[in-house]
Formats: sequence, C-alpha cells, structure tokens
Amino acid sequence: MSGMKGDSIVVRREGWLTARVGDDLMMMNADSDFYLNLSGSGGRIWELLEHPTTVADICQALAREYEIEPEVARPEVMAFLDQLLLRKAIDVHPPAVA
Amino acid sequence: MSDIALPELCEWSTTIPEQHSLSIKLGKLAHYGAAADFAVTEQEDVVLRIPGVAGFHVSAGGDRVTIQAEDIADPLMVRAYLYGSVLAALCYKRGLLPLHGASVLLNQSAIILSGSSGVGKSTLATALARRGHPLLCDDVCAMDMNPCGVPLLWPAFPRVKLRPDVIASFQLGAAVSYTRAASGTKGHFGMAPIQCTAMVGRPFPVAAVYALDPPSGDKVKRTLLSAKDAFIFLDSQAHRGWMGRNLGLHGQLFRHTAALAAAVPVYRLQRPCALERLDEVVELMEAATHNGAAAEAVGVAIG
Repeated sequence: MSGMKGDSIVVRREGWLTARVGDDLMMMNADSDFYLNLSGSGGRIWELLEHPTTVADICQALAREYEIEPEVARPEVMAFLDQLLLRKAIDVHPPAVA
Repeated sequence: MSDIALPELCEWSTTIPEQHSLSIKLGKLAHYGAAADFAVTEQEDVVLRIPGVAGFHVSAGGDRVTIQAEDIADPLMVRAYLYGSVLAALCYKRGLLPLHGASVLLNQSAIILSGSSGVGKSTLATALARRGHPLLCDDVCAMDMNPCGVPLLWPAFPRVKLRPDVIASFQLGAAVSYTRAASGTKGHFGMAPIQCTAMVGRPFPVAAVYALDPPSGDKVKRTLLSAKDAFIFLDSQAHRGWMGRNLGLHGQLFRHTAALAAAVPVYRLQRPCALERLDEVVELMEAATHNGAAAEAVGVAIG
C-alpha cells in the first residue's frame, strides 16, 4: 500500500501515450512498451488527473457523476490509484503544507 | 524506377507525384558481411540483411532502396522481401501503418484479412478475388491513418503468395513464379497473378478487419471483438512491428493502431479447414458487407 490519504496529491507521470478506443482508454508507456487498458471509470479518473489533484477531489467528482456517496467511491478509487502507482503511471505526493 | 525486374507490379499510366516516387537500385552495402540483420544508422537509414538472400538499405526519407543480392539468391525471394519487410520499412518511414494482411475491394471499401503467417490470409483473399472482388494487396496493407478518422488503404500489386497445393487447387495456371527452395512459414511458395482491375492510383476506405484464426472445426462464423481485443489484435499484427519500434516510432504505431481499432470493426473469423468450403466464408463476408458493416463501424467509433 502507498499510504495514500484523502488529501494526498496525485500526479500523472510523463511518458504515457493515450488513445480512446470505444469506451476504453488505451495507454502505452513509450519507454517500456508497457500497455494499460482503462475501462469505464478508470478512464475517467485518468482524465481527472490531467492536472495534479487530491484523492478526495477525484472521489467527489466521481460521486457527482455516478450519483453515489464519495465515501462509497473512495475504496475503489484508492485501489485503482494503487494499481496505477504500481505500474508507474502516477506519483502520489503528501499534501501541500499551507 | 528500379534496377531489378519487378514483374509483379503493374504499369503505371499516370504521373507520379515526386513525394510518392521510389528509386530501387542495385549496389554494394557498406560492411555487408559483418552487418547485423537489422540496423538503424546514425542517419536513420534502415539496413536489413537476410542471409542467403540480400541486404536492403532504405534511405531515411523512404525514397530510395539499395539492394545487394547475394550470388546464390533466388530472385523471387529477393522480391518477396522487397514486397514484405522493405515495404513495411518504407511505410514506417512515410508515416503509414503497415498491417500484416491481405485486402480485397468489397462494395467499394477495403476489407482486410489479417492474422499470423500461414493462417490462410492469401488463400481467402484469392477466393474473394475469384468471386469478383479485386485484390488490393497481399502481405502488407499500407494504411494512411489520416486525421479525418477514416483509414485509407493504398492498393499494392496484384499477386498473392500461396503454397503450391493451394495454387493447384485454385488452378491458377502457368503464370506463377515459384521459389527454388522451401523458406519461411509458407515453405516452398509461388507468387500467383490475380486480376488487376483495382490497381488505380487512389486509396480506398477500410470497412472491416477480419482476424483469422487457424482454420478448424465446422463453423463459419464471425464475432465482433471488443475495442480492447481489437486493439490487442491489431497491435500484434503491425507488420514487423519491432522494426517500427526500433525506428523510435512507438508513438506513431500506437496512435495508428488505436485509431484503426476505434474507426473500423474487427471480427474474429472462424472457418473450417476444407478449401471446398471457402465459398461459404466468402458468402458470409459478402452478406455482412451488404448488410451494414459501415453502420457497425460507426457504432464502434463512437462507443
């Protein structure tokens, strides 16, 4: 586990090419030739990561779009982000100090 | 313009724009004996060496090919590599997607038959051509993934590479050139002429890709692949995909493959082994094309 929290900041890593194919988002890491296929809400989370954003903001956005409570979305979102982290598609930073 | 005879190609009656021209010359390649089988030079030229056949040098701009044929080389093998691996290199250099497959013109659109070597692409393409659907290419499908989103296939030359037993079953006649010895996945093969009516200097929109399984079972059936499976299949069938990646064209290859998967339906095609049942396969493809393959293409594209 990454120690990710609600106020952790999630940032896309560079070097990933993306293309939408139907409902899926295909991703390729040009350095390693590694492919990822994100379907449904996974592709949407990647879009939300266009700019650095917090885990909580991602959960809020998905909760609005899928009409569920943020707390319901949170375990799924964190598990998915853990997968992206494992595959070196994102970095997770501690919250910015005010 | 070519130093070597290329009897498989058609006469071209129109003026070829400068950017489309290609010069093929015989010459000596530097360090040929010690060269690797594939290399990209500092100038980004491509060098391919096929032991026992020839070395091929493709200029960085994709406008010149130099061939050093070995003394023992079978001229048909030299041409087969020129029409295959070298054509793929030229496609990469010119920003085209070379898909491993054969293509015929069905209802004014290109239908692509793709799959692993020896799976029966050329055989099925020949069966389609004999039913009046002009052959557009065999082995390398050169596609222009233009920004408008409709993939366009450029016709190549009206010849198919077939095993001698398949040539005999189609009764393709005496105009076939055969290799001297067995080689590659087809073993001993012949280059057979097919009708030349579609060899006009314009590309055709691609309506469908058929992913061929090895023939087996009793069914003739096509199944639409999911977007993900379509992408995975097409990615696996980029002609000499390793070459594109070694040329640093990962991004181009990825974008083109994804665009093709998004724009065109990809069907898994199951069919029996028996050549006498090829007509059933052809009939299925004809009926599917007339019954709205284009509508399904839109469905896939917009998800």
